[in-house]
Amino acid sequence: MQTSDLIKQLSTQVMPVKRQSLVLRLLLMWSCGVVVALVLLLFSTGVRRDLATAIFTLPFWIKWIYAGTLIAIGASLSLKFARPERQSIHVLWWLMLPVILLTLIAMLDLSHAPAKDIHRMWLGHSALMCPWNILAVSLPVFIALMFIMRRFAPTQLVTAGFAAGCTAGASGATVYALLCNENATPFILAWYSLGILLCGLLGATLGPKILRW
Amino acid sequence: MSETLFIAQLNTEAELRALMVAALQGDGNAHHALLSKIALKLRAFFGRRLGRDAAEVEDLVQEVLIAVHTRRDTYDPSRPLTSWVYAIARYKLADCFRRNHRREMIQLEDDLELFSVDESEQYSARQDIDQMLAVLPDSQRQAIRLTRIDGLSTAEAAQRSGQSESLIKVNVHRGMKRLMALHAEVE
Repeated sequence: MQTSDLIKQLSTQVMPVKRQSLVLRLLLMWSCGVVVALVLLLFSTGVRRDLATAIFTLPFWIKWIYAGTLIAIGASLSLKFARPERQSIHVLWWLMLPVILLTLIAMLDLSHAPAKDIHRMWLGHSALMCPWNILAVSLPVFIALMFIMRRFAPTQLVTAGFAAGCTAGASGATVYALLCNENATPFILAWYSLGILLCGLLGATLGPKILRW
Repeated sequence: MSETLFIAQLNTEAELRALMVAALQGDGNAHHALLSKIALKLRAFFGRRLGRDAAEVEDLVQEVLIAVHTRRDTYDPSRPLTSWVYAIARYKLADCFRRNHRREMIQLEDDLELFSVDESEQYSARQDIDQMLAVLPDSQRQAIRLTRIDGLSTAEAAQRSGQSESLIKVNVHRGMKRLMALHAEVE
């Protein structure tokens, strides 16, 4: 086709673009992913039996605030890397902010704990399962975010994949917190973070393959 | 970069951004003008990189135009449009090299390059400005040149020229008024 014809064709029906279009599209896909993850959790394992009382306890909210902060940071980074202009990858360090804060809280908790409890505070009863469960619960969100990032214009595909992956991982962690009944902050710090990181690394690995446009 | 090249660059940015803003609001004519202007720049840009293969160049031009169209909501109106288009063009060029298993490296270039004017345009733009300003008295010409072309502030221009700040303002104002009057006569 002649380029002039192409231009004519592209200009015939130009839909107006909303200013917040990028944010809204990301939010919509993210919500779809989270809903699917919730439904999958409900129909596979269900939520923890004491959820009705647990949502009034501090450990539950530490999980949600930790993961929620990571979702917010991860999503804004994803939006940054959804645009084609070159970005410094150092902005990824923002993701460390909640990790550092939780580390401080965990250290404080450990310093107050009797020595016999420390082992249990790190490993709980589900340490080996937790990261993999979070990764599994994250997958619907992961797929949704990768799908929408591909529609945007990322040019640093590894970084864009990592940011979207971490966002999906943190979303998965939020959903998984409805099932997981671990209470110790060192446990959350170690194994939740590892699950989220796994999802981020999955994004970084697959980014160059599936985010290409 | 020479001052005239820089001004031409700014004009390109301002002009294309205005078209883009209109296009984002659904203005088909602006969109058409924008894509046509971008296509010209892209053809020259890819032509320099890919050499003789005109068909390959045209394919890339079209790919970028389609990307500019379908991914236009990734443009942030608070940032330069030229950098946004350049980033897309650069990505598509890298992708083209990767597809063809070529090993050429794409150097990290200044993103002004895609939109820089060529030598002859640059020369004639400078000539035009000289010619235009020649009709003005020295003090007005100097004031306009320092503030409007060299981009100095009124205070800096006053210091450089020895005119007082208020005189600079008056001379710029009178000079521009005169130029516009002349321009209106010609048209």
